[in-house]
Amino acid sequence: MAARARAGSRRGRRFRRIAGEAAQYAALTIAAIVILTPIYITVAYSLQPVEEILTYPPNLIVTDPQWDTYKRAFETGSLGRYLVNSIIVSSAITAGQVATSVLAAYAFAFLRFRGRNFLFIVFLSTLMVPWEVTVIPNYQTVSAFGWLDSYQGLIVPFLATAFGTFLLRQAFMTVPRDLRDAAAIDGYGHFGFMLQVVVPLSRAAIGALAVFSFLMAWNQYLWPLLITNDDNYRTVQIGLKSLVSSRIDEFNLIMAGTVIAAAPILALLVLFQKQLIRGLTSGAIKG
Amino acid sequence: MVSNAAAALIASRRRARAGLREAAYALALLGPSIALFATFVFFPLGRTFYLGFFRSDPFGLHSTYVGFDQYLDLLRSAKFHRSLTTTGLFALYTVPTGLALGLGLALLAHQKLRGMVVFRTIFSSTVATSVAVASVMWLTLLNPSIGVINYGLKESGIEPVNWLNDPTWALPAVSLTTIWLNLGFTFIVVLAGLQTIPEELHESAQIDGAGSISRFFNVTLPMLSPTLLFAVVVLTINAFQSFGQIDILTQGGPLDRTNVIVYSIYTEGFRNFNDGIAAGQGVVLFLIVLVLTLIQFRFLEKRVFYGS
Amino acid sequence: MSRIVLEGVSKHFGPVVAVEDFNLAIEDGEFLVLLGPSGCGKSTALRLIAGLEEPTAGVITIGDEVVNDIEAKNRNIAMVFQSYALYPHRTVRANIEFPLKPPKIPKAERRELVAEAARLLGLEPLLDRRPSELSGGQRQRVALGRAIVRKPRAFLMDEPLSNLDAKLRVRTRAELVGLHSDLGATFVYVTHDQVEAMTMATRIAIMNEGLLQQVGAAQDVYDRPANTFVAQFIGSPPMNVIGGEIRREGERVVVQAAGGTIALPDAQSAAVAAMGLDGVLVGVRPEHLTIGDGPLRAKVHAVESLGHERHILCDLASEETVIVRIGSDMAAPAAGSDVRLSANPEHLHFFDPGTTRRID
Repeated sequence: MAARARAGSRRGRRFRRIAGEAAQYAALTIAAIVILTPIYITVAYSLQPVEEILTYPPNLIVTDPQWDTYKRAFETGSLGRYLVNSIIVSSAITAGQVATSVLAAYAFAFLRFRGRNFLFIVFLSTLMVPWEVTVIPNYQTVSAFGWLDSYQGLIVPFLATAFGTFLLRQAFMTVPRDLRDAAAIDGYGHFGFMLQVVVPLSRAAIGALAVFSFLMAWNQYLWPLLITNDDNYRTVQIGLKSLVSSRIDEFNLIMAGTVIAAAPILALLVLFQKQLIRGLTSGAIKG
Repeated sequence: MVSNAAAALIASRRRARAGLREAAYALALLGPSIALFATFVFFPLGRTFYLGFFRSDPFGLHSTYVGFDQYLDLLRSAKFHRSLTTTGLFALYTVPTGLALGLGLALLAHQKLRGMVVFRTIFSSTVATSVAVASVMWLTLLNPSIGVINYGLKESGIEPVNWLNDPTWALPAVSLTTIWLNLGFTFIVVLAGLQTIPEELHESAQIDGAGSISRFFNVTLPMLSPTLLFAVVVLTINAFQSFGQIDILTQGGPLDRTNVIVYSIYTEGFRNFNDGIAAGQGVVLFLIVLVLTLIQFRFLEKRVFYGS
Repeated sequence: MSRIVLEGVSKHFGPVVAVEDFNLAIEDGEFLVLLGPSGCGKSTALRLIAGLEEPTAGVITIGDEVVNDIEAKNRNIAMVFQSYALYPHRTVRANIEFPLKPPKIPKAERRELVAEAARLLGLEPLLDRRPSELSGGQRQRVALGRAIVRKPRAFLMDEPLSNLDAKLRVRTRAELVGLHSDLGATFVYVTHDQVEAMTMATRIAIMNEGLLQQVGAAQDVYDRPANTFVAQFIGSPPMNVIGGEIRREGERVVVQAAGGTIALPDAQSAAVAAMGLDGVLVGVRPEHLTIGDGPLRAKVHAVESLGHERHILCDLASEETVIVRIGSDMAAPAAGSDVRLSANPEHLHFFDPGTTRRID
């Protein structure tokens, strides 16, 4: 009697667990579909001929992929140019931010000097000034330098970052004190120690910063909009907008442009997921 | 031998020189960052305040000093009030919903099921989409005639909406785009926060007889509060700084219903050449963001449970 | 190889005095041990020699040059840290090679020197491993390798054995002494372990609370401690020190201690009289006390058996404790019994109760 009751409840438990898991998988799948829908539609439309897109009811299955839409996007839509500009600008900003952050973080982590705390607060305060607030004078400054429609104008204002400095400072502070002494005895001054010991040991944090910086730089919108009018200097984000206004009805072309604009970063996300997550969450955990 | 006093003096001079050396190094290392901050953060901040004191003529050629008058006019202007309420509404639409959805997704994805990696990648995917990309994607979805959303509505028997041109629905539509855009970020942050909660806390709660719902409110939520606080702060500030999606989807309209503050700054500054007013709005934005950050940290910190 | 001299050196960290008025001359080629309890300033003194700290006052000389203004990296000394401080991201070979790069030594020569150091320390099979893959003892040898590879003027070591287990410590102690004689270099070695000091040093410099207490060869320091601190720090179990009043018994001067009277030798009598002391501290090592017919009365509190010897813990009437050391082959008195202790006058030490200094 008791044995059968036990067996029944065990089966019941197992059934409940499977049902629970099935429900979870169902919820996960629905959520995934909802989230992916815009992306899927974009890709699908990019491969359909325009007429198909305009039919009603909307046709979401790609039966006859038009690969040359992409070719056209590059040729007539200037997307190649935009892509190159984005790559140049984002890479330069990333390199610059990593460099200035490494130097500044080293100073905060390893040097003792009067005014260190004050300067730390100064760095901190830059995080509270939204870019949109300073955009007009910055435009005037950049214009005065003659940097409108130029790479410098897109790159230089963003070469320093307090966020990056703090991220790396935290990583640098985990380098054991003894290593600094050992390197000093071994004949290494600050720069030697920084390059040969601190930077290699902080590879993870630097990687996170690099991925994060690249992402932020790639996705910039307001600033490139303001200071570039020349197609030769437009980044892919602004290029996309100009594509929307100039080729209004060519949905497939616009979607292809969107895919081209999004693809590099999506690839980055897949390849460098860990670094990206680390960069994004460094402010969240433990405040 | 050198006398004690002299020796101490020599030692302190040596220390001073060494201190100077360190300071010189520090200057070299911090110099580039400081120079950049001075040029592109502090100077422009000051200049924005300064520009607010000057009213430009209708052609944008001359400006006259008017002191605080322009600020006062701004604070009294109905248009500016509308812009502020629009932005506030926008934040209200996007932040709580976005946070709740992000939390929901994170909870779903925090299970130890097979294939979770795939779902996690999918849920984080929107972090890779830029404002422009997301906006163009949703431009197509929201298209009144060919967009799938209206198609879905029609098939369900609901009257379709001309989303981006309807004064009632334009802001919600833009908000929807923004929520989707930020979902990846929210998901990643909340998931990371969930993963820092020690398993033992859940286990001991289970032993104490707590069901899932009770565990959620008594273990998960308190432990997650720093993360949620961070997410709320970032999302809110982000809402107040939003520009790109407005520029692509609605350009501030229809009837100014999506004219958020940054878009207003943009139009005044770069279309109407009204530097003074634009700068004034910038100052107000700065103060709002500052106050928001402080309020949120003060207010929410009381509810936040730090520590073990 | 060089002579290291510290003259009037002191180091203050704000209000905290780490080292004060430190005067020491370390001879070329000697194995000098800086010994003392934690917080006594010995590590600070070592770091001052290394150049990792700057003295608040005083002059430090290495070889013939005053090095106060010379940075650590230019002093041509090597240091082995308690934690070994190996570069975790580099192989053993790269770790050892590290100090050879700043002086721009050519690659071929570097490789030679690294191979030589590896050979000397038996590190050849480990050259391509990372520090995380090594045991404590192996890491310590890599740290040594990094130190010897540049043939520095002196080797500074900060408690290098304290992270090793007991057995390894004994073996490595002998290896270090061997290394010292092989290299003929100046070793400055910091430790709190007096056994290490006694077994390895040519001279021991004992420190307490930032001050140098005594410098001398191990046996000298053991036989003639300069003050009660040294007397009780060196030797295990520590020297017994009991207090007593000075009294005249006719011609003789005696010390009235809690258990009985102890005769004061002539030299000390004269000194005591000259200093005008009323009381004196008497020190005697546990192995120099004999149980039998002696002037000192005590009650046995406990008997500890260590296998090769026994420690008899006795209480004097004044509640001072005295430890007597006897071999295991000798009979031990029962706990609670009364005993009488005596000692050869040659083995008695006398100290000024005020200054704690030795009275000769």
